[in-house]
Amino acid sequence: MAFAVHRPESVPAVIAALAGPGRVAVSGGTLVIRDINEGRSFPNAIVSLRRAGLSGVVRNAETIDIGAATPIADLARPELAFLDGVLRGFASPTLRNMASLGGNLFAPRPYGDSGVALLALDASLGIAGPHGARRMPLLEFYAAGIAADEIVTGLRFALPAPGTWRWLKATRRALNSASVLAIAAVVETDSAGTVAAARIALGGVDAHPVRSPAAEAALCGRVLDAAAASHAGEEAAAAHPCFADAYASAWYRRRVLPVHMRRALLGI
Amino acid sequence: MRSSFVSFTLNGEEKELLIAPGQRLVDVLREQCGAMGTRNGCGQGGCGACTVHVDAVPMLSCLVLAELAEGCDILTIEGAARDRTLHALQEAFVAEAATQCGFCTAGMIMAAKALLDRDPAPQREAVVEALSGNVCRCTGYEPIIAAVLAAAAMLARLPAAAA
Ligand SMILES: Cc1cc2nc3c(=O)[nH]c(=O)nc-3n(C[C@H](O)[C@H](O)[C@H](O)COP(=O)(O)OP(=O)(O)OC[C@H]3O[C@@H](n4cnc5c(N)ncnc54)[C@H](O)[C@@H]3O)c2cc1C
Ligand code: FES
Ligand code: FES
Repeated sequence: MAFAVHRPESVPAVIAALAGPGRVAVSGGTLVIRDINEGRSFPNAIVSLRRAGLSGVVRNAETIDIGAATPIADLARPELAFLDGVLRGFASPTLRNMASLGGNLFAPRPYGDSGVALLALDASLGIAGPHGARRMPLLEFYAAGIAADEIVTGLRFALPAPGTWRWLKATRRALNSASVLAIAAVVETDSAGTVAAARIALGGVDAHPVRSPAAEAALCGRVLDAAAASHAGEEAAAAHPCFADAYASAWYRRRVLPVHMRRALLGI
Repeated sequence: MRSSFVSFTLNGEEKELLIAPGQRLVDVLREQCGAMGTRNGCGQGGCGACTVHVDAVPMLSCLVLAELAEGCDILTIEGAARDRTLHALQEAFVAEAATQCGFCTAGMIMAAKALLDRDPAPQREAVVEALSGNVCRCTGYEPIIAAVLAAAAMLARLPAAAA
């Protein structure tokens, strides 16, 4: 199938190239080109983000900025070492060289591993469009999306305090497998081990990665032990719809959520 | 829609090709460059048979548009051997009977080569991880993993320049 390929070298040039019917932004192409190969997508033109200056990781005083077109593999760096589990569970090393962090926000379920992690980190997005640039919380992005003529330019989050980060991806195979469930959390405890604050995000329970207020409320104020962690998982299983796909039934996802929540939060 | 000229380096050789819009790198390599070692398997990113190195990074050429390879340095299985001497990985795949129909082999070797370029003495787990995007439907994985480990051992005995 013939379609034009644009390689703009700046964000304004990307926005200009996206104006018109059937134009699709492509970052790593692992979803877009696959869908074209499969005959499921027929763009008039694709607009590559790879040369638009949207790749790279910048460490600021309190936060980290990551360009939307940054390949997942490029997140393997010392200041992001806490994300190692997310990276190693994400597809294969070869695919990680292509798949971008920004593209992952648009991946259909059960994909979206880094979206789950970014939700727990309370990340915000940089957005660019014909009317200029703006910022948006990731939570709002999943609720409302962005306009077809806009792109995500980057992601920003604060590094979690040492010892607060939790990650688990439950899969059918040890490597290169889409998630049955993905759980990311930032959990702050006081000196007595009581949970003072928690952000818990889940994949595999809804149409896209979500925060779990039910699990967070169940955990806060309790001592972080196996009973509290499993209880948070039970509350989450009751609150989120879960879904069935080739990897697991909705029943199975609900059934194992408390176990994986315990493992994610406590490692046991 | 008009074709355009795209230039890249393929296995050390400069190429300038007239490419129809929206062509995939795997098809251009096979059909226009005659580099038939790279296989077109699933077209979904799922099998790894199309693995090539783009600027020394392994990628799936079924998901790469040829027009985006402009200015890149591409290495395929045809570039793995030097001066008619097989790469240690190729030797080891033969010696360890790590190939049967051979459909997966080029992709396996390119994925494994990326690992050995980075980590010349990998643990078994690192080999398994490096090959986790490559599917083989006939040999099974054990001889392939053994071959990669054998190639690493072979390279360790060679003077650095030959690797
Ligand atoms: C074999 C295989 C295994 C996979 N395994 C996993 C996995 O384990 N976990 C997982 O989460 N995902 C997985 N995926 C899904 C996918 O590869 C990833 O989600 C990847 O991060 C998508 O990014 P991309 O850059 O390749 O997206 P692209 O294909 O480039 O784009 C995907 C969509 O996002 C849009 N888009 C991309 N970037 C932007 C931007 N900056 N602004 C606006 N829109 C944008 C595109 O228009 C398109 O609609 C897998 C895919 C394959 C083929
Ligand atoms: S043909 Fe490219 S991954 Fe299967
Ligand atoms: S040797 Fe036949 S697919 Fe691997």
